Amino acid sequence: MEKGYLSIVLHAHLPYVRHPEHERFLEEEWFYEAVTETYIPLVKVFHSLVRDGVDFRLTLSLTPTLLSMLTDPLLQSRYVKHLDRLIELSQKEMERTRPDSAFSPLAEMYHRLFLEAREIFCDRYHNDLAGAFREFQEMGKLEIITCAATHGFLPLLDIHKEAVRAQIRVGVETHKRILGRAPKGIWLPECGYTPGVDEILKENGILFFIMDTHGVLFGSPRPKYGIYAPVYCKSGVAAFGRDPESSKSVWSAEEGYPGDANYREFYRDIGFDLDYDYVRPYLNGDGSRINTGIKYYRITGKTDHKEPYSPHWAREKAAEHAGNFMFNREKQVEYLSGFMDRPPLVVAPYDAELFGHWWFEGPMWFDFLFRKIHYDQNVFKAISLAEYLEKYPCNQKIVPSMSSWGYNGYAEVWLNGANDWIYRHLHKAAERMIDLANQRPHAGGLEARALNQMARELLLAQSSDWAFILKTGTHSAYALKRTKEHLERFMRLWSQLKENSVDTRALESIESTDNIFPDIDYRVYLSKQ
Amino acid sequence: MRKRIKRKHKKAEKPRKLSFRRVKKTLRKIRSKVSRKSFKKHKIKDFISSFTAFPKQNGEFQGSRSAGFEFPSSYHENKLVLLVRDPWWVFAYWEVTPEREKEVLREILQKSLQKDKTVLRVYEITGTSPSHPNSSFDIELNFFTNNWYIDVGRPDTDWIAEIGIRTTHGHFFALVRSNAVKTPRFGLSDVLDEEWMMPDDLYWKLFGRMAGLSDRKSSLDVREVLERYLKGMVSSQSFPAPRKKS
Repeated sequence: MEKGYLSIVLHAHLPYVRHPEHERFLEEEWFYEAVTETYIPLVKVFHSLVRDGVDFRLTLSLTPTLLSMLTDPLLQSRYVKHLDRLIELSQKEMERTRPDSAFSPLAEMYHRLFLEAREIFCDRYHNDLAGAFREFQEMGKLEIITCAATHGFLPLLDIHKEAVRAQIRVGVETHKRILGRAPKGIWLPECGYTPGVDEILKENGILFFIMDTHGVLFGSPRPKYGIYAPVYCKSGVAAFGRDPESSKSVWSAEEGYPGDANYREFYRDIGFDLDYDYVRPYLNGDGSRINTGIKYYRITGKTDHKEPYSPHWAREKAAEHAGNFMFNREKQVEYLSGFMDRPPLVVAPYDAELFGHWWFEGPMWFDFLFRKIHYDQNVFKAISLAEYLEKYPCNQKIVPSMSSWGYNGYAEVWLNGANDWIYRHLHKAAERMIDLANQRPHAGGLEARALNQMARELLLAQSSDWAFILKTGTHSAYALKRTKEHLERFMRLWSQLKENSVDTRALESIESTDNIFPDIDYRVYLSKQ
Repeated sequence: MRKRIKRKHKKAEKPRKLSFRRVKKTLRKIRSKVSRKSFKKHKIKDFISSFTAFPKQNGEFQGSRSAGFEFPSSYHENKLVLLVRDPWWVFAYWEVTPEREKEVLREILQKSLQKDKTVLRVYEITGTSPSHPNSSFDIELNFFTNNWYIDVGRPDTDWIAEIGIRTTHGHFFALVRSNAVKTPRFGLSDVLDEEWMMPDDLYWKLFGRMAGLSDRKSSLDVREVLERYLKGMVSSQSFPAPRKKS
């Protein structure tokens, strides 16, 4: 009998980036990179575990924006073209590195990986990777949870309950449409929680969400089991708190596994290292150097001098780190179970894109970890959050504390001198949306289409990604452009509706550009539901 | 680092006696001014952009065309919004129409009073109603300021604010009132749930591994160490998470 449980939660998210108006678009690469480097490798891990009879559990949030991109025919076909370019580049690389025994096996490795990605994406899943995740959900291995429609940071949208409700409801609806069942849980964007959000989750049939450690620990009354058991909010929705110990071993820049010298160096990409004319056909649009995904070096140490990557050494290291992670969880669970009158639960959430994209060996680490958990110990079991709640439905009721998992633990990342000015416009747009919905609850035809498109534009403008990028500085021009574009489109439609003169052609044009949430109903913004 | 220094100040300046209230107020004012500095550049930009025009009505919806779009400088309304940034800071943004200001100025004149300053008045309303605040403090505003980071300095507290005109005799005439907000608690709650109790020494041990605490300490020590650990953890959190960066 196990003494405790481990729940690994992966949060997979990308903002909605889709630019049909351009042949190739720089920021669309985020999606292509994540598909090749994270989502497909994860699917491969799940397959190999199932094939070998390893019982594993993972809670995975697939955000509505990511799901929408994964199921978008334009992005799917563009991804295949992208992959074909990589296959061609890796072929050239095999030629180029042939005389070099250190590099040629690496070029071959990438070539193999890209071919495999193509086989999985095109042949096995017919361009529909969401279908792959659905498959593992059906097997009971993956618990797929949802997220707010466009990853809006809810504590800063909360002055209009209707705006928060729309984020949640449209998220849940998108999840149902694409994954075929209602989500039991939600990943609140950036773990951003403020009391009251749970009421809206409850309305939408959500049973649980994940918080950062201090959100639960600083709740009131004081949570008896700390973060090692979920708590119920007054609404009855459960909150799971993040375990800092297991988080640190993966996240921490100094102590975390991904920084090991044997692992692949992210920052030495042939897109930057090789002769410009040679890589130029594989760069994007404006021709500026970007990552191709082909990287030949290992981290080596804290110097600029880098040694060639050794897949064998990296694999050994990933196995060792998986063993270390498991050992530490065993010790942790044994320790905690000594003080608790029920089996402790360790919740370990991570950004999915860390695995594979940043930490190349991350998916392999998962593979080792789940095998080891299955075969090598009896102290704890991997469990999904929903399963834990079914097993232990009796939990303490508290009011969790406002919090997020961003820098400094609150709203600072999304509310600072670089981005605070957006909120007066986002709030105003939400207010106008709510007013219009309340004034025109029975709109049909063109009017309803315009209102639905306004809802899409508002949601897209609310993505926390834009505030985040404005703060971090890289790509901030793009984040500004997106904030402006969506709010401009929103405002124009608003003026046109006010004057009862909706421009049909212009509306058609933005409907096809911002085509997310095809069946959205603006009445989601009605104050009385 | 900045946060730690700030917290120290806060402790040092915490007045126990009524006579310090004035000192506290002055300090707060100075701090608010200091904190404003870093946002000044942005504000100036705001100010400049406030002269740019409302989007043209005949433009098209093409993404590439929106490069010239600027956000409206005003929505012609009276509004003050508070947003909680963290347990110590609340962000405020606002807009007051010239009409509203004129109306209030007229009222001031009618009462034979004289305008001194436009201020952001912040009320602490924990456990009470906005009409009976526990205390308040003012932040003096320049005419072009339209947002502020308010150093409320107190977790687990309810706040509401008004923009208004203070007269030379200290009377206050509100122009606009905000929403109410609550700063989050920072630390473990003292409220215990009888049904869900655990002896103190066991409770602290629960976190022993996490915070690297020794078993020998008294529960009081342990609580202190744990809280320090948790606070450190919250403020030192720095995730790589640059997933959108390349």
